Amino acid sequence: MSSPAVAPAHAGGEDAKSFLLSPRRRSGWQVGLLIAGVIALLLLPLVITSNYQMHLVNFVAIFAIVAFGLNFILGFTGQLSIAQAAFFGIGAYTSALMTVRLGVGFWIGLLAAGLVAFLVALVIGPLTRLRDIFFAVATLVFGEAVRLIAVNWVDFTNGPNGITGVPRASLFGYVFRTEFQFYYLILAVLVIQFILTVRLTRSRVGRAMVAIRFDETACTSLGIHVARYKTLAFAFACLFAGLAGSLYVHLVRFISPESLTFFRSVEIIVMVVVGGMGSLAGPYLGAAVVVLAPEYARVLNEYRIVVFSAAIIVMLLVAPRGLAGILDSVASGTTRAARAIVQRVRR
Amino acid sequence: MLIDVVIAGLTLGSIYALIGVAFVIVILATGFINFAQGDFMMAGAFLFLTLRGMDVPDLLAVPLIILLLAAAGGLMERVAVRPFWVKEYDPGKIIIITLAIGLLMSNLVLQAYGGRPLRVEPLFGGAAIGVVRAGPFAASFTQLMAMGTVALTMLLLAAFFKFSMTGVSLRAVMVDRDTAALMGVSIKRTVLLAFVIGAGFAGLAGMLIAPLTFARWNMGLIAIKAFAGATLGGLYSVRGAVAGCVLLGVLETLIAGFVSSAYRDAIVYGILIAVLLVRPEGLLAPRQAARVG
Repeated sequence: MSSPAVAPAHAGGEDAKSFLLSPRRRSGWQVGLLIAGVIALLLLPLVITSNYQMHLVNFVAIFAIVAFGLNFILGFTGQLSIAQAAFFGIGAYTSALMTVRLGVGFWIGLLAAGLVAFLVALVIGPLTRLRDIFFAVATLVFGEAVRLIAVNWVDFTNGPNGITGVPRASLFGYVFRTEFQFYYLILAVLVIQFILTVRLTRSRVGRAMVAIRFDETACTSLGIHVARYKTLAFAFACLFAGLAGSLYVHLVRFISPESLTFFRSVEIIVMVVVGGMGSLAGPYLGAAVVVLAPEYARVLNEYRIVVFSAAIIVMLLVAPRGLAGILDSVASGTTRAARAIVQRVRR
Repeated sequence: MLIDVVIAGLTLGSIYALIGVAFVIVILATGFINFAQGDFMMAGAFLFLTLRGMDVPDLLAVPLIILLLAAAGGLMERVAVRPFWVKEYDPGKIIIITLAIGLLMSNLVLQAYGGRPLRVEPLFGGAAIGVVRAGPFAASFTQLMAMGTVALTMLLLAAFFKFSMTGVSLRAVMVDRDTAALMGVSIKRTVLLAFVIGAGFAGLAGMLIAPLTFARWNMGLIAIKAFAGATLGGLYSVRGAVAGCVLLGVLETLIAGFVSSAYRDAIVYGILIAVLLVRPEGLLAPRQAARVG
């Protein structure tokens, strides 16, 4: 009983068919859609009227980066990490401590945040050898340990009070003063992550990662170093969680252990599940819903976790492909209907 | 001082053992984890508080709550978990949905009872009896009762495993699911049974631990430590889990008493991560018994 799967682990038929994992080349309209999407995102601030709204959009974008990373490892190597908030926090603390205590510039803090998160992920990399459930528990425990260190190591992290007075982001003397200016900085990281991830999925490494998701034993027999690829995928996701943490801390200019609790990690999972596991657009939709919904419905804010956990349960049972899946079937339904009408008219 | 600490550790460890055993039964029988295990424990504590408030005698309340939670555990497996292992096996979704159910339970309790830790009087009028002394040993009635109840439960479990047909088939599934299925054991029924036992044990643990640690909406996190204990024991046998949990309970109280109470949990978590990194098959397990990797 070395393979403990109840049923044979013919993992994720849904994910395999999805756009993200699809081995076929990009078709023209997909590239068009992407370019249209990027232009829409670039022009988004034009339709936003208040600073507050822009602030919310920035939050959506920051958490979308973290959720996209989690979705990547979940969809690729099948690892569910319950520690993404901890890596976000590691990035945020690295950047905050370096800029406040050492007085280095923002961009060094940003790069260091990504690097430290990446290195920590590599150090706990052997955990990725564990089977799915044990990996999940191990990351949960790791996340709690990081939070406890942030709370208790008062000399270093200033304990529960957190770090205040984090400087604004600035690049080559240009200071990102407003929410509108900062938006483009976050957008840059988000787009870079998207492009790198898509490039990665279509490379040899990406194909190996997909193969791992389907059958680890077969991969090992083909000479694919399973543990190395899983660690790499995990560290890649954590790198961007760290970068997002740094962006967050320079936007809010404050970080405390509150931002790296278990519940934060769960919120990242909610984003992925509600948005749609294994889809490219899913994490973005999910991040928008999870960040914006409580802002516009006060009840949701009060019963935040209650509503979110209920949402996960309902989503998984009723619409396991999430919002992206719902949109997808609506879209294909409309296309089919349109095609039917066209055919009828022709006849 | 040392003796007191060790007795407190043994008490805590034996309560962990209840949850640790529940983890091991579910893991070996099903191949996945019920992440809501700790929250069933929390539910046990709060149901007990509520029934106390309604003047239900303990002797009636304790078995009632165990049955109630066992039924809830079974219901949960049937409705929310089964779709993700019968039709297609998807451990990720099982993890997420059990996690969500646990969060839903604990946050509903947070809304209903508030965030303050609530005091729970010892079971069976233990406060009146107080401390029992024997030479250099001193233990409160609550501690003795917790250890005694756990010991009794383990004996009952052993008898169940040995003498009842259902117990034997559960054990068979835990050892080798495929062969057991070929021999005519219903896997669906066995998985359901594992969840029922797990939730019942967790409920009992909640009622035993609440008088010692207070009842709190997020006390479910204690289950992480029970899991750590079971991992120390190797997650391959019920006996290993009991030994690991008791060991961890003693270790934890020693750390809190003599090293640092602020870092107690961080150290316990560190031990768990170290074990998973270095020897995922557990410290007490024979080398080849690895089932974790």
